[in-house]
Amino acid sequence: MENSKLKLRFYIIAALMIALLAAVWGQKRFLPKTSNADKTVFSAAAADKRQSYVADVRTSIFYKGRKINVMSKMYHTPAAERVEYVTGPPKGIVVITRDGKTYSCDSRTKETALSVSAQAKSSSERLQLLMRNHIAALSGEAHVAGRQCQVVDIIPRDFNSPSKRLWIDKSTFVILRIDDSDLSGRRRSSSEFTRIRYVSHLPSGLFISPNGKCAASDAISQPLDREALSKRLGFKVTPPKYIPAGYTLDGYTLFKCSCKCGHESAHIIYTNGLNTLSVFETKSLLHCGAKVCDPSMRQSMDCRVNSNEQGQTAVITKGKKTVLVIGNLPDAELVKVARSTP
Amino acid sequence: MAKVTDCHKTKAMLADYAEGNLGWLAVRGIRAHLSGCDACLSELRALDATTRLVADLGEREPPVGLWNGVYNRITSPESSRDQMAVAPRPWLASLRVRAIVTGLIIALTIGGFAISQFLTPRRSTGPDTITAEYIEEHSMRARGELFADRFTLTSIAAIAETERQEHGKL
Repeated sequence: MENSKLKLRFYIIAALMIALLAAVWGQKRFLPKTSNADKTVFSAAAADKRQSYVADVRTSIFYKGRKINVMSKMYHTPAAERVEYVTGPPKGIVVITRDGKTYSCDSRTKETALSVSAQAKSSSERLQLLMRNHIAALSGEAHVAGRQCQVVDIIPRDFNSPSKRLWIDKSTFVILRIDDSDLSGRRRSSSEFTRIRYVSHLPSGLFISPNGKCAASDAISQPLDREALSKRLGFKVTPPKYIPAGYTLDGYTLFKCSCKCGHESAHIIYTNGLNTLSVFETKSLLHCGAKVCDPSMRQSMDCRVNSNEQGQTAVITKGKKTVLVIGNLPDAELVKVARSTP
Repeated sequence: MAKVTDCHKTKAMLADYAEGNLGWLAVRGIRAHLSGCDACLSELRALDATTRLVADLGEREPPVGLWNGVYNRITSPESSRDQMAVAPRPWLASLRVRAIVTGLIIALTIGGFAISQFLTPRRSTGPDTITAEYIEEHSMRARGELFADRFTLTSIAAIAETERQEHGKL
């Protein structure tokens, strides 16, 4: 009798231990877990809202088979940012971002292009979207601009998107280097802080006028809902029926040609948390950019694809409407998006 | 660079891939191959274009009374006489039908190829001055992404603008 009681106790304890082990295993296996890489990415996403700094930045871009180098100087506060481009193609351009607006002053044209943010998603929604579509993985440590950094890879869950590698300052979580790779994993650009100085504050005057030499300008793009866009443009603005997995709508804007010829287009913006997919709808091909006729564009081809290391463009003409799709996706996907637009 | 053997395997499965008849593992393999192989991608596009063309033709209902007409002709006495008249030379009729069918197949193949060539998106890597302003705007919008490389995106916008201006001078 005593013996059978002991046996029963033994079996109960054994069953409880097995249940406990199964629960632990199940939690590890099925519950979403927040890894150290995820925590680092969350901190990095919020770092620019906490830190003020001045930095020198070196950028290398692979474009149409050649490497382009750009140097710039950055002034950053939690509320505003100013970047002065010192060398390379954007030399002389000053970009100021504040209050959801981006002012881009080009000293060559002496004009400012104003762009108003149309982002429908908050930062936390974008971060959730990013983590849903990508995996963050720690990839070691390295020094950038004399600071110890955690290297994190952001890899798409679907192969159809480019990946990124971030060098994140271990103590402040500011991103000190970003490498972008294309769909096949080849590096297509890299921006690295060569020097950074954290400061307590910066003069507000830095973020008011781009450089005092640029004339003010109307916004070249501004948020507008679909109905208002259709009314203004004189055709029905319709979103594509097909959007690649992971991408969600991020807003509609009215885009005016920066050359001030009066040509306007609808810009439908999608995001997967890391990459932007743009769908432009415009009345016809003959906008101001096509004054010099491009014979290859006038042959009414069903679809035309242009691609280089930095992205792909698909153009399709449907009746009176031309649809342009721009993004970092395989050509076939861009064409599918373009063709699915009613 | 895609392997030739991979191309053979991929091309053999492209029709099933386009129809969505493959398992996820095979789909993943083919997609990975397509992302680095222009030849197979072109083949897929041609296949898509042809399929779409056929789908666009739609299904047509036969005219009302067609079946009755055919049935009456088969069962009528004149039909029996016609059959008797043709009977001595069945090889000639067979030859004619074969020639017509062969001709139709050749015409459809050539037509299908020509249309698929027309519908296949043309690929270019040169300066795309027509779309430059849109690339510029796309780049400026993409600056708003969480981990956007704003320096590269601004540079791309500047390059697009320069290309557009240079093209305008020509």
